Order: sequence, then structure tokens, then C-alpha cells
Amino acid sequence: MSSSSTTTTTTRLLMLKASDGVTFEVEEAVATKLGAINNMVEEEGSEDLICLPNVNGKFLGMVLEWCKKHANNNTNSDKGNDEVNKWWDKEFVMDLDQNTLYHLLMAADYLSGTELVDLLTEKVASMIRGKKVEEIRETFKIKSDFLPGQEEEIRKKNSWAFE
Amino acid sequence: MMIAETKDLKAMDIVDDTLGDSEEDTFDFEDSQQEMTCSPCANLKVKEDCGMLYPAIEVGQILVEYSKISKFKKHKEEMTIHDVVKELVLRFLPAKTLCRFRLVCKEWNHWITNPFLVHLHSFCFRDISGLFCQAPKGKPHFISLNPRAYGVPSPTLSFLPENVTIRAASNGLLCCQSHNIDPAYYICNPATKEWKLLRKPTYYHGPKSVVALNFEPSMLNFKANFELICAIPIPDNPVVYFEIYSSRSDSWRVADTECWEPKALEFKGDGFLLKGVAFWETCSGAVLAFDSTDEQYGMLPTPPSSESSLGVLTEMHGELCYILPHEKADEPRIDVYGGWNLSLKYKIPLDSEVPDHITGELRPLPCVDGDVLMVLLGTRLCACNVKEGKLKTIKSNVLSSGAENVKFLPYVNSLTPVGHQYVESKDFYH
Repeated sequence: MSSSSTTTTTTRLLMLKASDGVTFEVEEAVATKLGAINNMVEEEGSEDLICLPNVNGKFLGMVLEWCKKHANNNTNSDKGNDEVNKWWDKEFVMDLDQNTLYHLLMAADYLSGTELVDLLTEKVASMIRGKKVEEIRETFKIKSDFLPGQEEEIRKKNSWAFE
Repeated sequence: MMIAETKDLKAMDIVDDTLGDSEEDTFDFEDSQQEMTCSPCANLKVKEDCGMLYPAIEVGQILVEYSKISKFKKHKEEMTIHDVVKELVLRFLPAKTLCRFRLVCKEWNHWITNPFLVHLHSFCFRDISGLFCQAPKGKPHFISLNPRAYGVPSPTLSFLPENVTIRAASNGLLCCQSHNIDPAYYICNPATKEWKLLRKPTYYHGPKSVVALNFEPSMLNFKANFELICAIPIPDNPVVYFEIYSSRSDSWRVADTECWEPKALEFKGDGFLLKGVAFWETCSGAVLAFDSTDEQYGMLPTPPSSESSLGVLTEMHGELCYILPHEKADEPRIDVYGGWNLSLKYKIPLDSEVPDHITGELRPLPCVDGDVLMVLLGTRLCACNVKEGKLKTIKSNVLSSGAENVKFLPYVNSLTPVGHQYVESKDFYH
């Protein structure tokens, strides 16, 4: 029942090209769930090919899968759909391995997919909140750069947080 | 020409957005704000928002802005996962984890102790982390839902200058009261050990008065302003007065509204805030609701058979809810009523999941995390999923004796500063 103008906007297709040359053909309404793409579309006007040199095909595909789900559900949103979306999001992040999760978060952040970033940060937060300092350093390849004594001082003053 | 300019305008808006995100190391909010307001691109945005079509700007200036864009864009592209986690994830971690993660490296230590992160944290971190509880005449005590993530340095609140009774909680802040003849109110954050003694109210808040703490973190609530709303029954008079402390003005005010409801003369206990409205359950099967903004009050009936039982009024999915156990029925169950009319939402049977050898009173707690209710079964803390209807033991022996008359408050492990800090903890912000 949509008017002709909405039909034309929802069916416009964009080509997104990932760093490894993989291209995705997606509806504009799906791609513009990403703030960065939305800006580019408004900026470029009639350009249909968008190159994304910082995201590889695997992760761009996953980001777009999320966008597709959420763009579809936005058109006829009601409370039931909200529940479905939540369930879908939960499944989406449930079995992601650490490496995929972090790359996906970086891709989502780079593309300004705010809602997806929120979903992924929540997942990362729940994964790392019980971790030890040493585990964090190992996971994110961070070297301690404290001067001798500084580390002990912070540990001593916050000993309760290490119990 | 005109087209070219609008194009640039959009590109610059992106810079505005990335500015804050890509600042590294010691991110200084004030500085970056200044930069944003001084830079031509921010002016452009303002002008655009004001409805000016094409701001007067020289082409050369636009080129300069482009080089700025590429600088920031490149920066964002070069962000490693370590930067992304620091920038985006740390604000969603509980206070205990953050205190521990100060030790990861200097950069994390800087960011975690930065007042802007503290502000973001009070806004972003809302997870129910545990319960403060206190038996009559006992000391306060903290039950963590995940001891590796959620915790406080001083669970008995011994950092306060005197012994206190816990009264109310709201998004990381606790309201406590001293035991003197003329008791004083304290507002504290048990995670940072910051506290503030409130000045004396106008009325005498006797043992029958009840309180509710209102702290609603928001992006704009930089000073972490809060309100303490007190309902004061007047002895020998069928009336309740309201007196409200506001940290913004650091003063008390007596509401013009008086409540003359026969069902609201005695309260079961302290209340809580939901969407700006304070709620207290009365001893006559009703709920008193009071909005401190327009100073209007209203009454709601509690579900039937709740007068003498261990039902609890709390919040679930952002709505008012009433959790009522039916222990002595043929099939023990928990009923959950919700919404503004407190209609029956869930009936949770508690049969097979409860091992036979566990006995004791079933008591729902004012602590709901998404679909999960916290309940006490004797001295055992259990989580109960409303959709699956299953009881899962979280921790046994959380109380030394029965739960009777023990007060429980839900607690969020947040770094929220106590507004207008009178006493700053030297431990945390060293």
C-alpha cells in the first residue's frame, strides 16, 4: 500500500565494495542504517558504488545481515517485532568467537552503526567484566607501561577490586 | 558551486562526530568542546541547524577543513581493537572491574579515572549488580550477583562517620540514615566511598516516615543531581506531608500537596522512583504514587491477598510491578503483576526446580534484572526467570539467620559521583 515515492526510495540499490574487493548489492534503506553510509549517500548524490577500504568482506557481510534484519523490522514496527528483534540480536551475538566479535565491533564502529555497536559492546562487556588484568593484557596485546612501584601502589589502593 | 558547498558541509558533520571518538590518551572534554565550537566546521553545523542555507565561507577554508577530515578519518581507521574497547566498552563495565582494569596500562588508568568517563559510566552502566541488605540492629552487608565483576570496597559502609540504616537506592547511590534521636540522612556511593551529609529537613522525620531516592543519570546531568523524596505521616492526624531535598539547590522544600487518603497513613517501608514518580506500598493494600515535579499524588490498589504476605513492589522492564509468592497453595508459585494497573502478567510455577531438602520461606526481592527475578528461599539467593519459570541457586547462605525483617535494596555498581562532592575519596581519585 506504499506510495510510489516510498517505493522508489526503498528499492534503490547500492553497491558496497569491501577492502578485499567483495561487493554487496543492498537496498539503500538497509545500508543507510549505517551512519557512515547514510552520510556518503547524501554526500555523493547519485553515486551507487561505495568503497569501504577498511572493512573486509566477511565482516561487512555480517554487518549488512544485521542491517537487513533491522531495516525490515522498522517498516512495520510493533511490540511483537521488538521482541523478535531482541531475540534475533541475542542469537546473532551468541556464538561469535572472540576474534570475529572484535573485528565486527571495529567494523560497526567504523561504519557508525550505532545500534549494532551498542549490541556488540554489551556482549564484549559481559565477556570481559570478570577477567583478570593479565587476561585483558593478553587478549588485547597490551604491555604494562607503569614505572616500577606504580603498579603495586594502584593494586594496594584498590585491593578490594582484586579479591 | 552551491552544490559543492553542501557536499562539504556533510563531510564536515562527520568530523564533528569523530572528533570526540578519536581523541586519544587523556581525553579532555572541555578542550575538545572548545575545539568544536571554535572550529569553522562546528559553526557551519550551527548555522545549518539555524536554517541558513549556505553559510558564507571561503573555498580555501574548506580545503583546510578537508585536510583536517582526512587526519581524523585516518585516525579512526587506524584504531586498534584495544582503542575500540577502551573508547566504547569500558563505560559499560561495573565499578569493581574498572578499578581492577586501572592496572592494565597507563592509558586505561588515565581514562578510568577521568571525570568524563565517570560521567559516561553513571549514564551507561545500569546493570543490577547485587543487593545491599541489613537486618534490624545489624550492619549493612552486600550480596554480589557476580563477585568477580560487582563489588564495593566497604560492604558495611564503614567509611561513613557513624552507624547507619540503609534506606533507599537509585542508580548507584544509596540513602542511609544515622541512628541518633535526630537522625541525619547520608547519600553515598559505596563503590567510590564518596558521601554527603544532607542538611536538616524542616519537619521531624519520625520512624514512620518513608523515603525514595531519585537519581536519574542522563547525558546532561553532569553534576549528578538527585532528589530525596520523603513522605511524612503526622502523628495523631490522618495526613501525610511530603518534603523533598534537592541537591541542585542543596535545600529542602515542603510540598504544597497534602495527602489525606485513609489508606496511605502507614507504610510497609521505603519506596523507589520510576520515571520521576515515587512509589510506596501502604499497610492497607494500596500504593501511594507521588510526582515531585507537579506535586500530585495518586493511589493504586495492590493485587488481592497481598496485605499480609511477602509481596514486593518493584520495577520490571521499566514498569511498575508487584511480585507475590503463593507458598502455601497446592502448587507453590510466584505471580507477577505489572503495568500501571498492576494486572497479572506471569504465573511462575515452582515445582520441580526446588530440591526437596531446601526449605524455608520464599521471599521475592526488589531486584529484577530483565526477565530474571531474585528471590530468597530460606537463606538461599535464587534467580527465577519469569519466562522459563525456573529457579536457579546463585548463592547459598547469604544471610546468617532468616530473612524476616531484613531490608533489601537493589544496587547498581556505578562510579556515579555524589553531587557537589563534600568529601572526595582519596583512594579512588588518587
